[in-house]
Amino acid sequence: MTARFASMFLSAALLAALAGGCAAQNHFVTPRVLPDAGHNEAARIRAEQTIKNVFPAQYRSIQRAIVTAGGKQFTCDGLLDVSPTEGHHLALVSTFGVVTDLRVKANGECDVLKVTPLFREDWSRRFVARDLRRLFIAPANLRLAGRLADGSVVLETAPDPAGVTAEYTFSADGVRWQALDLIQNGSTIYRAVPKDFRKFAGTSIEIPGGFDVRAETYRLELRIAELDAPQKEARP
Amino acid sequence: MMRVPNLGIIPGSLLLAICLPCAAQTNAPPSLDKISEVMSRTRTILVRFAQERHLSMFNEPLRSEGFLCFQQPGRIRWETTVPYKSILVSDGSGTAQFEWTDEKWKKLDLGLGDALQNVLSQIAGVMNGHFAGDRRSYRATLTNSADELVVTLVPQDEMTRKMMAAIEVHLAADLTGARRVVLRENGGDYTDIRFSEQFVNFEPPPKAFDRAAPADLEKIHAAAAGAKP
Repeated sequence: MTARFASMFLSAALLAALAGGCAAQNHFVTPRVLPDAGHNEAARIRAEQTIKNVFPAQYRSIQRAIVTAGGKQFTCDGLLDVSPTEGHHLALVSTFGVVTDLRVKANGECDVLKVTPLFREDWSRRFVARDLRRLFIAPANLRLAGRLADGSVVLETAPDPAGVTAEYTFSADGVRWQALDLIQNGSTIYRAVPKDFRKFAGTSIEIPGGFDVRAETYRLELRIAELDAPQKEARP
Repeated sequence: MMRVPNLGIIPGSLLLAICLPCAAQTNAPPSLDKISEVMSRTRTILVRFAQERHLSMFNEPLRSEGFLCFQQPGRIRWETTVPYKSILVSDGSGTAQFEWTDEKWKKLDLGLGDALQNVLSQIAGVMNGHFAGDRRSYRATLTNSADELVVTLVPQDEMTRKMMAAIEVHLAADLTGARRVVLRENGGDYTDIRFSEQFVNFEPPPKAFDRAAPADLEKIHAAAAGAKP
């Protein structure tokens, strides 16, 4: 009886939230990027290094997520294992059990390893894998997009097959990652802000302790509760 | 249609494990009816838990720690303290959840609140002995080993059983204390919850189960520690 009851609610809530049928759309202000004449090449190079080294090459972390969708909030735990050979392996676990289990391999392919009654496979690929890729995996082949009015450095990827460009914003000196915008047809559709930079076990530099994400139809408040990197991964 | 397991069975089995030792002082294994009777006598509980969720495709489990607090007839508080801070609380008529973010408690606009309340109501029913005596929902067996008693609960409902294969409640053989509960899912995943620092039949402080601003855990612990364990 309880199973059916909860299933009905879960189905309705997630469908409304993720399919976007009756969920409120988030609105964004797309950052205005000004041209950069290459006056500060050092900052650009530093920004490229920053984004490549946000997280260690190998680690394990426990995360806590609050998802706001359809005007309601849901929580789940994330267990993330990362290694250079195995890629990024993430399981999401809610009060109701495992939500999804997926791996983004080193070659970029995504395998959904476990499909559960709680979450559709295409939601795992559309939303969870995107968050994993965009927040925890360094992009390749960034190029200088320009600067914001406050001097922040902006690097961007080439458009993907869906026409989505990722713009990474850094402090003016390129040292601190400040934001990520996914832009499609000239408009921001996804914005992530790393926050609470601090050191974790096995890391010698400060890394994000969480992210605030606004996507098309949901918000994600992600906290990294634990992160353990092998000591050999510690960076100067 | 999507399915989820019978959610009440998980924390319910925890309460079964916690409550049983309160009054049982005999070496003879209790009957299910005796378990039901004993459970109905316990008014309040506070117990520390250490939980490990073992996922078959991960080498290391997902670990968390915290406290479970219960008061008759249907007040429940599940508070995680490590590796993050979170409170799920029911005052018997509704459910609320709080997350510790930015150095303060934030009340969530909880989705699935009605479903969670339904679940927590089932847990409350455990205290009245319905759980151990609920032959319609679970098939229960008692087994003895050298140093412990194990109550194994198998869901009767096929749909639930597809998600949750069995629940094992491990008790000390002399019933002086609960040891652990193991929730076995199909596919090899399982959750192992171990208990310590148990207090029973104390008077909880005001707002221990308040859905607007629940009292701090420290106050509950102090009240429990001040009572006879």
